[in-house]
Amino acid sequence: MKLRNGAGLFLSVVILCGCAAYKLVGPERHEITGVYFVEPQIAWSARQYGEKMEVWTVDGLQLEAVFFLKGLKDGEPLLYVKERGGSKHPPEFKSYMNANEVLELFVASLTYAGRGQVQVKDLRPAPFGKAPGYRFEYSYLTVDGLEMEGFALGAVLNAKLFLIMYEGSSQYYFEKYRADVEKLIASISLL
Amino acid sequence: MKLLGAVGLLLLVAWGSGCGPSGTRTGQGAIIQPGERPDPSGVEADTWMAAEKFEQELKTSGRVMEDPALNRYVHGILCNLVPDYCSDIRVYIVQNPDFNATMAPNGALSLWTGMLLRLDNEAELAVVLGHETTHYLHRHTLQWWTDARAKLDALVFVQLAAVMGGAAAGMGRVGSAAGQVIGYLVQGRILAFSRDNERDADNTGLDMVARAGYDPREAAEIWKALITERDAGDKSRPSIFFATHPTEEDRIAYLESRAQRLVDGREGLTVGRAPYQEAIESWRGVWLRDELQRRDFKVTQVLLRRLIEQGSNLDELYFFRGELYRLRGEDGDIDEAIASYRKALDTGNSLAETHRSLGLALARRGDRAGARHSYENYLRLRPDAGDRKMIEFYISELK
Repeated sequence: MKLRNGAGLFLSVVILCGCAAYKLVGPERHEITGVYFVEPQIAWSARQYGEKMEVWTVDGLQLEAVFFLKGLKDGEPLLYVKERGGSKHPPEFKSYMNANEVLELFVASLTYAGRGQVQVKDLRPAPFGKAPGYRFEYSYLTVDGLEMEGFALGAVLNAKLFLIMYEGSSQYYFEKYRADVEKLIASISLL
Repeated sequence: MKLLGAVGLLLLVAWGSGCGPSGTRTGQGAIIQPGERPDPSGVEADTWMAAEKFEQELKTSGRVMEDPALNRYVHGILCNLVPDYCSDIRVYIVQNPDFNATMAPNGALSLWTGMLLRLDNEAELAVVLGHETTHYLHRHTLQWWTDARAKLDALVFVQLAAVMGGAAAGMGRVGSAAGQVIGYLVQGRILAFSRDNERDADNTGLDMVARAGYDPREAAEIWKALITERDAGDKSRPSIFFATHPTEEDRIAYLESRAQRLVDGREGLTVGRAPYQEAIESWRGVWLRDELQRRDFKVTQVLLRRLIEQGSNLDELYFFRGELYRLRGEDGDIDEAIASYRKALDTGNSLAETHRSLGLALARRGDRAGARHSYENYLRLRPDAGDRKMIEFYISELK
């Protein structure tokens, strides 16, 4: 399977899932998977990838995107790669994982997807709505050597992993919508 | 897509997939001479142009290790083997946990860090370099290309190139590109690998190794270790290296036989374990971490067992053994992880991360006091840890 250049980790899901067309998400309050609301701040183009992933972008997935991972169950991988001629086994989420172990899963998944020089920092507690969660910052090189920067907010709710990741090219696009996404994650309201 | 485009892609693919199938020295002219460049109007120039493009992308991929000392060391051994070609062959150490080495037709030699992690000594490194250098000296890629062109019709080229897309164009994509190529090779849609040419690279490489004063008997040791890993590993994840090289155990026999002939009557051949281990020491932990990211735990288990048996750097090795079991998380693994971390700590020279990982493992097993104690030790040893606030949160939850 070919991973798309420059785009985020979870685009690898694209290949397996029937992909719906883009839909407009306005700045008004928006429900994510029946579990929480967010206030998107600005208008985004949104696309669903299977049941577990929703991706929002303004300028294009390869430039910047917000990824909503919606309730990963025990044993499910952050990404799923199906190679020709044999199965591959990407790293899987386990419901016992704490913040450090989710971080390890995240790094392993990026590496598995062919990203280089994956760096993470500042793992710390952070609220996911009113639930206890965690946050970390990250960076990596795409398969083309493009430097990407991002942050992730996560929580395990009812034994399922929820993550919101925002990332963009270090040059320009990451900063372009950073403040909007900071407000977005601050607006999380659990149902 | 133009056929020329397809040609370029396939040439890159040949490189990315490893040593690649190749022809013999006959039919493609003489051994390449020092400083030689191909005739710009010839087919060989096409192979060089494609390789040069790939090499440029490799340089900017962010995956080439730039440590000057390590690069000097490796290139120095190459120069010992083929002094006349010292400036013609450029060695790139590519951070990739798979075991592989590749040679481009223009003299760009890539060594993957998964290989360097597994090699034991200078003589083994010389064997790999000698093998790859033979592919260059004997113009094997040109032969491969000539054979391929003769065997495949244009339609297959176009289809193949379309499937490969840009996947072979950048080093960052070598892993996935190689995987696809292997799929085609395994399916017999491109070529079968030539036993003759691999044997040519083995034999000529061994001659170089012995001539330079290294012990060629180490060649067989590389294969023995690899075959042990292969047999332990997940059969659905074949090694890139095995997919591009003959794996018959009789290869060990002929390597041993030829090496023995080369050393008969000679004394003082270099194995060079100490200088090799010293050269890679500061990177071993990084490469072991990369190795674990592959999540091919059975293979890593074999590798770690072998390294632990060698008896050095036990703090680091027991730590990674603990990491393996903790990350795998199968029945009984958490106890194995805890035992390994404790062995690492018993060496008296362990990493701060050993305490953190022990804390994670103990917490998972429900040992709250032990977990808290380990986390506190971690923060004491690493007060500026990037996850300090998270660990402090765990500690507060465990009180």
